[in-house]
Amino acid sequence: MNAQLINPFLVAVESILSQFGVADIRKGAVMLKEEMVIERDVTAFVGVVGDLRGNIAYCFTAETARKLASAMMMGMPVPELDEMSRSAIAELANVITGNAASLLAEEQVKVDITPPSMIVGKDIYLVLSSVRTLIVTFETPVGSIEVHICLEV
Amino acid sequence: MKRILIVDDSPMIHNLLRKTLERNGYEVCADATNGREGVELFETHRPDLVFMDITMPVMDGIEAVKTIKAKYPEAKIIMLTAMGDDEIMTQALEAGVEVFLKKPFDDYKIISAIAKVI
Amino acid sequence: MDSRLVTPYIESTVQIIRQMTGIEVTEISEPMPGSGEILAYGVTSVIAFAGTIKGRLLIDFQPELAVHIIKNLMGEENPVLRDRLMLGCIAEMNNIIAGDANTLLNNEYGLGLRLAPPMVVTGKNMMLASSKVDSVTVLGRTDYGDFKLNIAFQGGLPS
Repeated sequence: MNAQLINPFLVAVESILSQFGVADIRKGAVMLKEEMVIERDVTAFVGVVGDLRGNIAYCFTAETARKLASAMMMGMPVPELDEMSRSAIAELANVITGNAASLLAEEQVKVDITPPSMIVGKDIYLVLSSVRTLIVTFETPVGSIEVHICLEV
Repeated sequence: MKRILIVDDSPMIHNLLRKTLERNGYEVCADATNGREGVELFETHRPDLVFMDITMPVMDGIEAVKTIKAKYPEAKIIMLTAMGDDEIMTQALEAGVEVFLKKPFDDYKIISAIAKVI
Repeated sequence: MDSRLVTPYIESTVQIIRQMTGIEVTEISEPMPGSGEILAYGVTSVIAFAGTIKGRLLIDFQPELAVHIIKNLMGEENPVLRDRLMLGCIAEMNNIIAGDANTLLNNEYGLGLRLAPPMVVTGKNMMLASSKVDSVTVLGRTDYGDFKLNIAFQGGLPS
């Protein structure tokens, strides 16, 4: 996978999270995998079509998801991951991927994104596509976020 | 025996299509999982016929057909794909495929398409 | 939700399961509107698409039905679900179903829908949710197990 096409997805994570007050984000481990067992509780994902075709997934622990949902809802307390906070997390995936799409458009790469979907549950075996997935872990003050970038290019 | 190259990113399609072709007396000479590999294996094997998917990683089927046809205008290619709306079908025919087929398929669909081409 | 956006997915699902696996859908429910949150049976494939409107098709199988489908598609006697190749069959069948229905919708209404790659998951006690979409659920039954379809759209057909 081409770094020029991957970078906008990583830049978007930092830029959108900082807009919601989650600053001091560090990029951690990078892995390439074909499929995976997700140990985290919440996975939100968004499809990409157009000049690129793929899926981008964001995985969080329940605790990180609650803190992020709270940050997105103006600091409103989120004691449990209910329907409203789940929808906030789906929206976060939507906004981050949408921002990446805008950054790609500046590079003359035209993509459109699909509505976000979400999986809640543990020990889930996930295959995102027929190609390998690049997994980048971001360390943030509210916990780590795994970003799975799977592009068929 | 006529030799056929299958280009598709789904192992299941390779498996189903190979069985269909073999029980009807055709030989599958090579399997490619993306368009670029398809072009390379075409050059190596020079098959009598190609089955080509469209949406694949690395290089899509439309590009692969154009690349093969530019160098080997006599190549025979059947497009076999999940999406078959007018726009996609037009693109495939303009790229030079002989026949356009939409998945799923059965023996009759595959064999009657081959009969039109070789 | 507009039945013109729903019916093609139901028809394609029933036909393509029959054509590809030989399994008959013996019962199918009416589309039921829901919250968009689905408690999964266990083997679930999601394929999203975008064009002039956006949407996604989710197909969720009871594990025993998924095993039977894979057996018929791959000729494996005892397929293991937690396997990339085996689960890939479920994803590819979803791709063909969505491709079939979207072909019809594109030709009929000029929606220009294009598919993202199908993804597939398996696990126990999974909940799948979508956001900012209208969705309906359809329940289906076969001799080998049950399945659910969830069809979701953002936006409607041009009037």
